[in-house]
Amino acid sequence: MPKVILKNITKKYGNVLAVENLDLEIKNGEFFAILGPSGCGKSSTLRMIAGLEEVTSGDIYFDEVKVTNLSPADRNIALAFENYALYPHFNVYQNIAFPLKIRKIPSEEIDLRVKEVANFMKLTDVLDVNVRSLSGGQQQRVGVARALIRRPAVFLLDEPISHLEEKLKESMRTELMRIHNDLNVTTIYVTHDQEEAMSMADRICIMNFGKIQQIGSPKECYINPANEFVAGFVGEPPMNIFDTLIIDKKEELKLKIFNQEINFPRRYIQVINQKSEWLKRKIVRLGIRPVDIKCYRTKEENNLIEGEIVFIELRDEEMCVINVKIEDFYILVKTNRSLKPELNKKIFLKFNEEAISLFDPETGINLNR
Amino acid sequence: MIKVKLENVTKTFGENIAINNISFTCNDGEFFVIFGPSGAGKTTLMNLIAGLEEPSKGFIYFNDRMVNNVEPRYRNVSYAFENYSLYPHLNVYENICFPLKSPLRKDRLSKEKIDLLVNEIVEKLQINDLLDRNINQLSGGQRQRVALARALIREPDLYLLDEAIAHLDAKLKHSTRAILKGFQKQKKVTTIYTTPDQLEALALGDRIAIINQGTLQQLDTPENVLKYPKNTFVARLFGEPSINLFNGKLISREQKMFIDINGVSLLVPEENKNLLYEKYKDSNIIMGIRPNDISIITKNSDIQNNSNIVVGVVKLIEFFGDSFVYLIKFDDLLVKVKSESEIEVRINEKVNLQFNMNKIFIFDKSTEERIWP
Repeated sequence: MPKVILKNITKKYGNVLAVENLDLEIKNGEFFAILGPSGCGKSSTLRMIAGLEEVTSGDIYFDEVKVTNLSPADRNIALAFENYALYPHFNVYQNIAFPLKIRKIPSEEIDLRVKEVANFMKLTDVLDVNVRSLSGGQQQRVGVARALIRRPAVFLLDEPISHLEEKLKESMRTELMRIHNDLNVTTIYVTHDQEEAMSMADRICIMNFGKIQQIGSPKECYINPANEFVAGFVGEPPMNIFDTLIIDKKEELKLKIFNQEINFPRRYIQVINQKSEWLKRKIVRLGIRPVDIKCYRTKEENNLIEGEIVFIELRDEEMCVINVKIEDFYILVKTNRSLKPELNKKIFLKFNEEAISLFDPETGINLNR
Repeated sequence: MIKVKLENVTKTFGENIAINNISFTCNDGEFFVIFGPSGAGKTTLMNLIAGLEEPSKGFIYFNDRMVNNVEPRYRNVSYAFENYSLYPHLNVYENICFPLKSPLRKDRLSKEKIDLLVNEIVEKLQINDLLDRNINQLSGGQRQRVALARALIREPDLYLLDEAIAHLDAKLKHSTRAILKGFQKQKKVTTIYTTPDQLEALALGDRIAIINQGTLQQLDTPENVLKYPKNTFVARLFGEPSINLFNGKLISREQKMFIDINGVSLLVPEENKNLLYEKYKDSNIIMGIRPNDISIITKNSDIQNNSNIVVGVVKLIEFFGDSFVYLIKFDDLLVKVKSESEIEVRINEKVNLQFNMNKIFIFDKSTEERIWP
């Protein structure tokens, strides 16, 4: 399986810059996700890797081989879209066999390979069935089987499950990961759904406005987001982000949050001492995830931040998400239901300082970058 | 405001039965969620209540008045459509105040009064800076909020909101849910809201009507649909990831009750024993257990007692930010385990799973209805 390298790729449609100076290296056998909102350039990137779009400038390599000018057919890739475009007048067998048939492969070999991939994709029982009478999930599997039968070196998936039912999505996610683990084929997966990218990928490239925002493991992107965009895009419920003040007391630094002072996050102390201009500018953007805020029903400790519960969302039998109004801000907190939160009642919050991220209010970049 | 009652309502389109004999009552002032997968019949139900479709059988009442033959415009209902249906030749402001200028209104509102109402609603929904825009300049999420504002600007007897915030991004969804529910409780207008999203149903509904293939599966509070799902279909719909369901058999041995799954016996807690024993001894059942009620034990010394332990192999690990999901293979079964903290295991490593049997659900094998708890 090759690694896939993009060097300084730019794509323009007329005057519109879809992808700008993109550098990527996808490792051999990796499950790599490209994540971003609609219009961020993720599908254009995938289509350039597939050869369905020409690059405006830059080069694409599969290992040492430059493929920039190769046609899709010569790249040994398989592409699966959300809309698999199965042939409606064919049965499952004929659909899966199609890519081999047009390559004039002997029918005995086709038969062997169709049965092999059908077994792998759990389609053996429906090989004779017309694709129109299959469920959505089965159709999806036929699409994947048809892409896999060519034994591609690189497997490209463009939002393959985005619009499926939640529960079907859950099982398809498992299935796609299983395929990847068993075949160990280099997989590039494009999606706008952060949950899909986070749960499946070895590494994620997060894009916005045609540019890379961050490349890293799901955990890195979650714990240490490169900028405010990534911080807000990755994680559910989304991170709380708001302005805060740095207070420089002679002995120690503090952060002022809604009339309370909390300790300055240790992981930023060195950064802030190096960039002392921050101490003068004072205002920074603070990000904290809903799970990193602890709540109390009474003011059990000093320095708790007081708010009012304006909304409670049950999540499951254990957890809930509460929306807390503090001054003019709304803060989301994910907490155990054993707390028994009540609507319109007071609640006291404690921020876990070490889980805080700080961002530049002008550029949005994480201060530790 | 009004109470909405459906009595044995069926709707067919040719051969196709879209709604199959549904009865329910939505109380006065209630936030009533209709939840189900796409194609379940949610929008058809809304259209029937709005009067855009007529029931093939059965009756619809607003309070005690049967409205089957009442035209939509005389039902005093405000409907936000899933596909927005905004007027493309009008700007945002004109779209939102359109319902206030209906010829059916007895009073004519002054320009000042209209502005006041528009401002109130656009501020709530954070679209105040869009008022002069044309509809085709808006994103999907913005269009959806304009459609919602247009529905909420007047105070009818009933709001019908069809997947009304489905296209907002994650951050806006959270705040809009809170705003919407707060607004509804303040105005006390009976509201029927459809969604295919379990989180939204749990977050918004005073009660949730769960429908599938045109039939009503369960109608209950969010609390109760989680705790007492009526059948395996409902149990699977709520919770992320889905509940684990295993075929098993209830057996008794030495005065104790066990569930046998693929040759492994899991001990049923004492308190459940009697009821199950009498009715279901030796029956085939389906056992349900949620992924966070199973724990992974990597050290043998951490096993508290040897019962209710299943040995499996780790197949996949999924990361969800604030939790981890492990897919474990045990015989030919796949078990999902959810943990808030990361567990030190590798793919293909052998692990012990401890089932918390106090948290299990038991369903009848043939009807798939819940028999325990």
